Amino acid sequence: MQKIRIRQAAAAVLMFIAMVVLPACGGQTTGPAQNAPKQILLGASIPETGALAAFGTYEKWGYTTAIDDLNKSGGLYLSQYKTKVPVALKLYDDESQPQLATSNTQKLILSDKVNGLLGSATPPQVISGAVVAERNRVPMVTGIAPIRAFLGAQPKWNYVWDIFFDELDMTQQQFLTMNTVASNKRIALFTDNEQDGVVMGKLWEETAPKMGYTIAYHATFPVGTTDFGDLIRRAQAAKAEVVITQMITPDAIALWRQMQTLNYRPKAAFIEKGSEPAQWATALKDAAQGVMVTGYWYPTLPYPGASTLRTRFEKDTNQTYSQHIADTYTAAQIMLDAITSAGSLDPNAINTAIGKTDKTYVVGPVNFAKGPGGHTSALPTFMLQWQNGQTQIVYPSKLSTAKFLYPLPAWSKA
Amino acid sequence: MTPSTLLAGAVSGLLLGGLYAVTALGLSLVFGVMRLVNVAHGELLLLAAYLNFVISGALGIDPLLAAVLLIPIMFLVGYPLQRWIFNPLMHMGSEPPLLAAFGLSIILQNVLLLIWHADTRVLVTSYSGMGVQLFDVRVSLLYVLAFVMAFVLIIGVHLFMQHSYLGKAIRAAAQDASTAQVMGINPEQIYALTYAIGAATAALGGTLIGMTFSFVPTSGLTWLLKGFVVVVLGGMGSITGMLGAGFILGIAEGVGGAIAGTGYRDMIGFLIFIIVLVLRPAGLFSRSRV
Amino acid sequence: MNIRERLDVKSASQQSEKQKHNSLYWISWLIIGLVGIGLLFVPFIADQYSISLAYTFFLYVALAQSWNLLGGYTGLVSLGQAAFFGLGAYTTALLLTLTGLPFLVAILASGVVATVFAVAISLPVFRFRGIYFAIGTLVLAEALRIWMINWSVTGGAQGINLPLASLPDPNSFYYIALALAAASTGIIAFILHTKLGIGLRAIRANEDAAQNMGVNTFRVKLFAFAISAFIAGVAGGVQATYQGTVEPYSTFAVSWTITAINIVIIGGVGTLFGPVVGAAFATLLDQALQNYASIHLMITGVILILVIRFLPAGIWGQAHKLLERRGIINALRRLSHNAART
Repeated sequence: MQKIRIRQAAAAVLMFIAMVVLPACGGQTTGPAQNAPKQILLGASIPETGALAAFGTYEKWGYTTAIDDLNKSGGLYLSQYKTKVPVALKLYDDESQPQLATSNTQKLILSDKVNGLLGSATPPQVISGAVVAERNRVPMVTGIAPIRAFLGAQPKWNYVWDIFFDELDMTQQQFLTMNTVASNKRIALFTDNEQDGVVMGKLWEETAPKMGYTIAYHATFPVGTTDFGDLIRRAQAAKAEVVITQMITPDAIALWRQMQTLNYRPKAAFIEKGSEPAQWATALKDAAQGVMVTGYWYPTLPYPGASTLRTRFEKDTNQTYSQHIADTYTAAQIMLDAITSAGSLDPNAINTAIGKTDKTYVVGPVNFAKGPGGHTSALPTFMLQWQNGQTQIVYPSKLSTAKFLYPLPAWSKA
Repeated sequence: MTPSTLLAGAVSGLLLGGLYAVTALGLSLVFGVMRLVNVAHGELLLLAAYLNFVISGALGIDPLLAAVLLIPIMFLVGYPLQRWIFNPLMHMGSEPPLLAAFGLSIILQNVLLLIWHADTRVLVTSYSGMGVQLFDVRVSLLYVLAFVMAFVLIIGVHLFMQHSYLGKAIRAAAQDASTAQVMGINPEQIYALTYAIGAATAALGGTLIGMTFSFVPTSGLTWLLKGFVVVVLGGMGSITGMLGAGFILGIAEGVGGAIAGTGYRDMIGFLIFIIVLVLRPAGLFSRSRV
Repeated sequence: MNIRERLDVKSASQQSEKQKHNSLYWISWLIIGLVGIGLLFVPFIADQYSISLAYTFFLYVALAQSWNLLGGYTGLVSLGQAAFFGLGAYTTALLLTLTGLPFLVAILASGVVATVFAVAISLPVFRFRGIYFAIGTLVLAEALRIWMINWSVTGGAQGINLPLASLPDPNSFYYIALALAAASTGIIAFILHTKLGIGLRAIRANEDAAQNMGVNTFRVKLFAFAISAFIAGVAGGVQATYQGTVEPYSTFAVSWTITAINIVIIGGVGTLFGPVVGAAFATLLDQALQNYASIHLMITGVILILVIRFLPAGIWGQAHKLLERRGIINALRRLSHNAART
């Protein structure tokens, strides 16, 4: 009995191997190609659905548009082949789940054989994909990942490059903005326990006393929390007039709604990351008014193509823009410029070229060599405020586009 | 941690307990009558929430009103599930139906994912943000609503089981299927109807979940496990016991969460579950049925 | 007759077969050897993506076998396999990040940690009888997941990033997983011929009767639980190093348990090669529907229900019975008898 069983098992396994191996034997070696490649393939795993879907929308537009813009001129000029080659983009949805970011990136590298990668959104997703890129030595350029969180994930990055804001700079903005008005200087912090929450929570704790503020209450909670009742009551009891939070959009919406229910109305609220996308304002309608969030890009900034980028996005998608269209558009452009500069599709050549980037893009000046860790480029920050469904710069005054609304009026009747 | 935060935790927990009882009702019913652990129950709750999203959106009505329409719909969804998936497996022991329910939950979860994706959703109403003052504690109006609905539904189901012909037939089949058969009751039909009723209660349970919290297709497991805790605490024996169990769970979570931290709230229920089961491993489910 | 009873009859008769070392026996071993050597050479001729597929296949086999030992051979339907898997993954991640321990030591330690956890919870968990064991393990696994999401010591939601320098080369994971799959199958094959193996199957058939016949049911269940946890823990450690990161939401997700159960039941519960067939099926389906993950899972759910209803012995189990019924096996037996005589 056992022998027969074994034999049949062997047959089953052989069949599987045949199915796996035979297609592969169809000659898949990539030898040195004398002819130009038919296309250059870039890939990205982005959160098209799930809790981070809002970011995915902007990313998809940013990446796709940058590549389309290049293709309009016939493609990317590869000096090795002395011809222009069209660029294609392969996108996978990672559903806002880190393990899908990992497996999608693996697929892009091993199955689709991309020449370069673009990142996902927010540290858990970005880092998961970046680790795969790093291990397989495929260059990746990403935005939407605060620099210290990104740098903290690996002792040294070699193949992944990040353009975004520096938390050291960003965690000052809330205090600087509050310095322009009067308050009891008591702050309630709400930070989740993923990278951004941990990094920024710690920085806010350190910075507050230096700037003359008190952290009256600091709530930490896991991502995906739906019930903030207990935390809100404690913040109320601590008599904090300023609320600073770091959480993803669905959690932020839940928190803000529950604050309304429990009638906790701070004089100012900085809802970082969660209130960035337009989805925040759409979901909360009037209740979104007056909420602040750190900005790093605005259409009025003096960078090439800044104002037209916004109009193009809104025309293409019929949605309110977000600053993320700029860093994602730029990330794709950096990759394309690097490939052009390298002149070939050799990953190491491309990688070196990315490292030498020194140019002002639509999101601002980008230089990785000078940035923290040698692999990041920091974007300076300012403060935005939601006013009537649009974000306005309210600090610093030299950049501001509207008056700083302070304090938040009492909760209107629902 | 002050007395007032503990009190607030207890009060909001008590109210939430009503919601927990409602969501666990279908689970309890199906297990009490057929000994079927319907691990797809969480997904039935979510299905109701998503359907409500569609109906209340399409007709422009309040989700609670849409829930009324949803009750017969969920009933019709539940009936064939029991009839064609579980009934043929009932004689195979307790594990095959459990595993089949597992399969069903996978199917349902991915149907929801395919149609509505993984985006977070809420059933929003004009009164979603309202709060009320209770015992010196401010709570969400939705919690109070859920609490009231829980009483209404559970007492209603209890009365139905006690006094209606179908209710008595179900209890008969639960106590002794073969004797019931001799008396002219078709157990297969009864099982299908019971499951359908369980699914119908999910119409309200899912609606309340959708209004009070947010939901995604993968939220099903959390609600299933909460349901287990309520069922284990309340005992199979009584529908009304569900209310008490829900309150205990809600208060324990509220107070425990205030002490240990919001993130550990769900764990409190699990600890209760393990402790209760350890103390009474099989005896919790007494012979006395609904 | 339920699933358990059907299979038990078959295995009891197998136990009484005396092994004849005839030419057929040696031919079978030759085939296995050839297959084994063939598997060793696959990475040289297959493309990168197929190799990564093979890695997943082998990992699934190992994870499925760990559940098979518990649910298939002992009849303990546990829904908490993800807990052992996750503990193994985190142990490896912590060891590699905080200490300089080599990879092999780390993953073996992961198996040990998972085993310790299994032993620790066995006292309360074995008090749950029948269906409550299933629910209880599910609750425990989920409780562990929530704990890990909150516990800042292990990084909370951030998880842990393994130091890339300490990880094996991506190409070697094929062999690591192959070894794991072979070892897990081998462990079960070995156990089946020991007293433990007989005890397991006695418990599956009827625990109370087994107890009355003198089987120390608690000890047997404990061994099965511990070994199952060990295999799952090592598998978790391997996956952690393959991914390079661990985070609690996915590492402890119930989907690992579901995958293991699906594979075993569809492939053939309580058989040695059922999980291999099931894993091949799952991997191929995954490939075919790689851009439609939801559809893939839906189909798996439908097939699971169909198998439970119409094909309780699973693909492999059913194929085996068919061949048996058609007398092919008897014919082959006669053939080998004749060959031995000449």
